[in-house]
Amino acid sequence: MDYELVVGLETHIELSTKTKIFCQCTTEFGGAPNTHCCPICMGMPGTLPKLNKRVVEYAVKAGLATNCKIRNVSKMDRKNYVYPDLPKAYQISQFDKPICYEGFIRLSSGKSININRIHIEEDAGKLVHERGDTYIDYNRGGVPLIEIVTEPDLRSIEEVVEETQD
Amino acid sequence: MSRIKYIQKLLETKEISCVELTEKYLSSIEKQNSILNAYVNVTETEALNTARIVDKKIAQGQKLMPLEGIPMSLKDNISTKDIETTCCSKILQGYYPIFDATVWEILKKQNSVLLGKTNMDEFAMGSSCETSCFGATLNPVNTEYVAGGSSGGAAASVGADMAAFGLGSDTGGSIRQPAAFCGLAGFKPTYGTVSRYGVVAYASSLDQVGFIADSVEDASIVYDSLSAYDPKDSTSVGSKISTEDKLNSSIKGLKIGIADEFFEGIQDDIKKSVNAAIKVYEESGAEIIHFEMPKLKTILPVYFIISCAEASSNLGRFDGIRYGYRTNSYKDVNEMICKTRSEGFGKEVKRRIMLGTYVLSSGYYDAYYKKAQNLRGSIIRDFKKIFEKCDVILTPSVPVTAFKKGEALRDPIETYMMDICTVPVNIAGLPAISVPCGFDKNNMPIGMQIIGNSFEDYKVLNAAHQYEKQTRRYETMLPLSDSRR
Repeated sequence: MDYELVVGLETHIELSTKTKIFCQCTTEFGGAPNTHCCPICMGMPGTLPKLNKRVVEYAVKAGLATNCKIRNVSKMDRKNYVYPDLPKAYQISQFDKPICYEGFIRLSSGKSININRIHIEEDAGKLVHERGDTYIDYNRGGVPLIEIVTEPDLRSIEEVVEETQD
Repeated sequence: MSRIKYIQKLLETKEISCVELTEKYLSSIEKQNSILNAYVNVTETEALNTARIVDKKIAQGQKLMPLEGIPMSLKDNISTKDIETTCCSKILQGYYPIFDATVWEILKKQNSVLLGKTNMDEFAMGSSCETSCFGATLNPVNTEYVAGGSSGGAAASVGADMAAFGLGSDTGGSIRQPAAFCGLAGFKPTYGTVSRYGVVAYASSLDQVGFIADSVEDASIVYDSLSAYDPKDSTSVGSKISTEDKLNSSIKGLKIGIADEFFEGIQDDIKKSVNAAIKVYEESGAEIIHFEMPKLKTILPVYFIISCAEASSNLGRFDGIRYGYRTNSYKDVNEMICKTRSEGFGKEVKRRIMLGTYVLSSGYYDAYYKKAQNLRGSIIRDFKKIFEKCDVILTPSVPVTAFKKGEALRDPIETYMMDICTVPVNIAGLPAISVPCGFDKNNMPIGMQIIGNSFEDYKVLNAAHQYEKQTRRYETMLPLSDSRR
């Protein structure tokens, strides 16, 4: 029997801002565990997020580069789930009003790959498993991401590779 | 003269030093707190250290800031660096924040004297402080009754002269209800005028920091110092209006809105007292305007859906990993989180987390949460229309006077219903104050509520102040004075 390969992609891209999405901690990679943290990205009780302006700018630029419509009124939402590397027990992301929507990119073949949406969200920390113990490093927690979601328009591995490289 | 002004006068004229004043308050706490249970943590060293700084400034002849040297209390959900902050929950026992809430930061800069952290219902969920892991706070007027909640400790600390003013939080009436029960002024400002940064969240879209004070004037003085824009709180707008300057505006022609719905199911002597207060306003030249509030009955379900939904999300972070209580024995991380939360949270908090998780779960989200949000929008629009015709709205603060011990825990639904007058204010983000307006047959205080339009906090405070000026004789004195009752 012949099968057809049908692929849609959700691509997470880290934004190269200097500071995290909701606080002023550095986004620099590495560093001793839990040294790029503050009460906000550690989700200490009572802290509040303050959205990084640059994150919005970069997301809009990504949207313009992919022929998306840019929403004039966009909002953030909470995605509730429990996991030790997620200190607030919810990820701040975008649900029903993503900042960019309905775009497309054109492959070298001339074929269009439709983009459903691009939204902004925060990254989680990371778990380190060593000698039977688990450690948590929150340095990456709160690093800004965009997620680009395509429609299931890709039909071959070659197209997928080209899409991701674009 | 209001209590805060009186204390400042004594300090400035050197009739009493700030250390002496602080010691008076501390010994008032020592004498009464074992009975009233208003404070869960007394910060004596911190208080005396600040008092000494204030005394030095006075000795150098420096002018004092509005709240400088004034002894006060903070509700235990307001983060205080290096001072335990528990929300009166077992799950936060041993938690010492590494940062200050913005409101405490401002008070610290003013050298306000922190006497301690006050009792509250666990995570501000309750109406009597009886869900606190430290037990109930009793009413200073009569200890057979509770002080109310959730900011019951704040109210008792002020009512029993154990603090000149107290900071609390108000999500559905948590400042106004205990103020009414204890015969004090309890002010919940417009959402966004006072920073929420560092105040442990219960329901973020409803939570507001507010104040319990001996008089409206004192509440206004505290508000003016704390209503500053805070870049750390995205919902903060601050306020540049000095409400104290506007306190003596004439209320001639002030349009006061009254709706029958707010008087349904209200205890008779409360109805009588509030109606007498309306007469006082009429005699001062205010105009009474009747309006209808048919949606009032829907507001409680809307409130409980939204507040429980937000609570279930906000309280997810208490997992025993980074701070606070952690269970003793566990096999893996899942069991650790489950056991920590089962042992750490009390019954009422668990009830609201479960309700909230249910209304947010897929399949039920549209039927409950989304519908509640839509209704909230239409309630806000209704209030907007009412305020096109009225300057303020006058209602009872609570349908009943103070509960006796144990009464509030008997039937949770019945207790939830007692929030009917206060909850609409949080749903619409409005400013409102509860002021004393009489006593019931057992001599327990009655409160009335004045609600204003968003960012018209000054109108609310002035209307309340005018009533207080006409009906109350000020007798300001220090705790443990000979003439004290």
